[in-house]
Amino acid sequence: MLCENCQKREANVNYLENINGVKKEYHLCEECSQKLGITSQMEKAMNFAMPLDFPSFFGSLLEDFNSPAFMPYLNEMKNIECNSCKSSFDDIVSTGRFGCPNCYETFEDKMDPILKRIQGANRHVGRLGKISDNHIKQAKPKQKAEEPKTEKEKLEEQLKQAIQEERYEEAAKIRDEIKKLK
Amino acid sequence: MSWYLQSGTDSDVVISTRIRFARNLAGFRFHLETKEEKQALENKIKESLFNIGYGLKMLPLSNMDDITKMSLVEKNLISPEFALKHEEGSIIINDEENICIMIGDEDHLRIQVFSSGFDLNNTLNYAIELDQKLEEVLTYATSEKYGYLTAYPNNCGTGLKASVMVHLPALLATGNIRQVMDAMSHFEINIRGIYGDNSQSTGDMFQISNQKTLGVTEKEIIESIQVITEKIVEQERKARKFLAQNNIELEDQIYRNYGILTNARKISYEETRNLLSMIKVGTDLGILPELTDSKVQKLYLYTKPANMQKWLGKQYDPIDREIKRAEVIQKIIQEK
Repeated sequence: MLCENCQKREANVNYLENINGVKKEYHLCEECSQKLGITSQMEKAMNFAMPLDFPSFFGSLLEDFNSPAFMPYLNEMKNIECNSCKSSFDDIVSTGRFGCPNCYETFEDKMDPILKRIQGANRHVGRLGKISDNHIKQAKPKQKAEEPKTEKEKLEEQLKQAIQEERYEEAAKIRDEIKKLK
Repeated sequence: MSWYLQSGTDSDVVISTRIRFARNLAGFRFHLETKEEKQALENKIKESLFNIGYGLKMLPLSNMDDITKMSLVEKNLISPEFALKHEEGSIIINDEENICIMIGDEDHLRIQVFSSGFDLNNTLNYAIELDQKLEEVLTYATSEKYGYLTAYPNNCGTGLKASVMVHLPALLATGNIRQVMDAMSHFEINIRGIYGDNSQSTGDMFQISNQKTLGVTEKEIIESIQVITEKIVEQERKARKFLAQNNIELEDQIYRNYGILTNARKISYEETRNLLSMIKVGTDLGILPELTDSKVQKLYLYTKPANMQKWLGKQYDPIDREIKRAEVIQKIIQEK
C-alpha cells in the first residue's frame, strides 16, 4: 500500500485517530508520519529512556491518580497550588518531589492513597519531637478560619452521617431542623 | 580509634551498623535553589552546633578536594551522589567519625550515626539522643499525621533508615545466597550488594536496610532488621562450618589468597577486595594466625583508592597506585 499522504512511498505506519468517538485509520510512510508529527512506535521505543529512579516512579504513580478516570473528584484539585512554595501538583508530579513541608498538607487528599501504596500506611506512629511552634501547625487554624462552617452545613453533615449509620429517627429530626433554618 | 577500624558484636559477619534520620527545617523549601537560601540554612545549622556538644565540626564540601570527598565515600560516611553532585553541601562530623550529618542533600539534614559490628539498639539510642539535642535548637518540619516531613515521600514519618553491612562469603560460595534473598523478599527489607555491579557483588559485602519509614515505629524498624540479620548471621555461620568441614580445601584457598596478597608487587583494588574476603574468613575462623582482625580492617580501608592516597599523603596515577597498594599491604601485614 502506498502512503495516503504523498502517494509515493510505501506506507509502513498505521495511525489510528479517534476524535470524539469517530475513528479513522491512516496508512502513512515513515517520512510523512514524521512531518505530520506522528512518530512510529518503533521510534518511540528508541527514544524511550527507562525511568528507573525513584522520582520518575513516584511521578507516574501520581499521574495514575491524576487521571480523571481513576479518581474523578481529584481533578478539582488541579489548580490548587501550595501557598507557601507555589508548587502545583503538576510540579510535584514532574519532579517526584515535594516543594516544601507545607505541600504535604496542601495535597493531603492526593497523597494519602499514594503514601498507602508506597509506604503501606499514611499515618505516622513513631516518635515526634516538639511540634508546637511548627509553621505547619500554625497554618491549620488559619485554613479553618477561611472557610467557616455554617450551622446549616454542620447539620447537613450530621444528616449524612445519620443516614449512613441508619439512624433514621435522628436523621428525620435533623432534617426538620434544617427545614426550620430555611 | 575510629569505629571503622574496630571490631564489634558479631563482627565475623556484621561489619557495621548505621542509623540515619532524614530531617528538614521548617520555613525552608526542600530543594534550595539560590545561594542565599542555602547559606541561610547552613548558617542556621552552624549557629546551633556549638550548643549540642559531641565535638562536631562543620566542613563545606567546596573546601574539600576530590580525594578527601572520595575517602569519606569509601568509609560510607557520605553517599557518592552527595559527594559528586552537591558542590555547595556541607558535612558535620566529629573526630571519631561515628557521627556524620550531610547538609543539603535530598533533605536538609541527613543525620547518620555509625557503629562497628552489629549494634542496632545502641546506635539508634545514640542517634535519637543526637536528634533530640538538634531538635532543641532547630525547628524541624513535622506534622502529626505524616511525622517528619521529607522531600521524597518514601522517607517521611520516622525518616529512619537503619542498615547493617554484612559479609557473606560462605553463603555465596555454597550457592545458598539465592535462597536467603528469596526468603528475605517476603519481608519489607532491602538487601543489595555493596560493590554492586549489575550482576555480581565483589567482596561478598551486602547491605540490609528497611524499606518503610511511615506507619512503623523506630523500634519496630530496628526489630525487623535485628531479627532478619540474626537469621542471616546464623545461616552464614552454618555455611562457614560446612566449608570448614573440608579443612584442607578451605585452608588452601585462604593461604593462596594470603600468598598473593603478601607477595604481589602490584595489585588492583578489586583484586585486593576479592582476596581479602576469604582472608577475613580465615581470621574469623582462626585459620590464619598470621593476621589479626584489626590488620584485616586496616587492609580493607587503606587499600581503597582515595583512603590509600590520603594515608600516603600523596596522589598517584592509576599504574603507580597498584604498585603503591602492594607496598601498603606489605607494610600493614608486617606492622607490629
